[in-house]
Amino acid sequence: MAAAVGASALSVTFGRLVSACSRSIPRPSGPGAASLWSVSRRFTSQSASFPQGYVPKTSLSSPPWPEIVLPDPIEETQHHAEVVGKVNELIATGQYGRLFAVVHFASHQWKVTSEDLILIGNELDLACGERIRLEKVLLVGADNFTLLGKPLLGRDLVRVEATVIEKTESWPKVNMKFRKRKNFRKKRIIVTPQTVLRINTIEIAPCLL
Amino acid sequence: MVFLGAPLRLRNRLAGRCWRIQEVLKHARHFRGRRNRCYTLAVRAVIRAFVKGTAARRQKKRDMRTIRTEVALPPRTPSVSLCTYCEQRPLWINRITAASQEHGLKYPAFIANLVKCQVELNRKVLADLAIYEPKTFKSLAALAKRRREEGFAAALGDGKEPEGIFSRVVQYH
Repeated sequence: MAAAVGASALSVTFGRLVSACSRSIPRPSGPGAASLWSVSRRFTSQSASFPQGYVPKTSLSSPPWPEIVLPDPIEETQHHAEVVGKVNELIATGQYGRLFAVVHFASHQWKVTSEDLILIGNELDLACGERIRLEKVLLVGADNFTLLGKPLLGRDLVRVEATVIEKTESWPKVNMKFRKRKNFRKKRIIVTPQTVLRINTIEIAPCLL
Repeated sequence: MVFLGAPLRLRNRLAGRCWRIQEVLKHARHFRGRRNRCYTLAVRAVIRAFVKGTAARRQKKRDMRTIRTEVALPPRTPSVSLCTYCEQRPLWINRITAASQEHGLKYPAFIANLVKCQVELNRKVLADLAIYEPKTFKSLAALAKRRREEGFAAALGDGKEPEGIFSRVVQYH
């Protein structure tokens, strides 16, 4: 599945910069401060009119989580575009070391780097030495940036290549059933085929827009 | 040559008894006491070992995900226990909980918000990232936190405030 929409489809972080979320303005906290606050208001204001939508502070007047103030969407979009541009530049100039990727293959997810060995518990219908491209990539990361897919990354963005090294069978596992005093005993030896893959390379292209 | 008259004392006896016994004893060589030497005792022990092995193979997948409550109980007998299995089973959910607590989030909030952001990483990979890729895990925690706050804002705002940036969902058809 391709990440169709550009910047909004990819979630990108740069270095140790984490997407900023500003905390709310600290209110006078504590029961004593609240009563003082309300008392002073009552005594200072001449008319006893409260602003519209005023709810006296009770245990249920505000939600139990702390009040959240999200940053300005326009500023945030600008910041995001900057970050995406910087990461694109890093990728284009090749300023990354070893890449790791999370790949979905054979109904398992594997965290994978280059020169890695993977043991898969079934047969792949491939001859030894054949080169494969693993397409379902969920995450690619380097030292300074990570690219997360929603849920998968685009095919033109990442390329993970692997080679089939070995096709063997597992060790003979014993499957035994036994019920006492009932003369019930069954034994079966299970041998499953296995394939060993070596991840050759992980490559990324600077097409983050 | 066909022998038509064989004496009654000439009877055929089992030739491969030794090998049949060894086939069972070879699986019992690492047991304790006479069960690794004597066939009658070894047969019972080997059958129990195989049955427990088949059950354990299914239980292992559950254990890898989260802790089994029997392990937490203290041992009944003060003497050395016979089984020598390692109690440090990798526990993905527990590890993810610990790592997300380090970043100020609880496990249910972390997982739920990651799923809402369409990030379909499973617990095995999340636990590996928490151990070997701390920066990536920190960014995942920040993403989950931001999505949670946008959820709260959407719940309180009644649609008047603008929609969150990280709450946008990619539509596939």
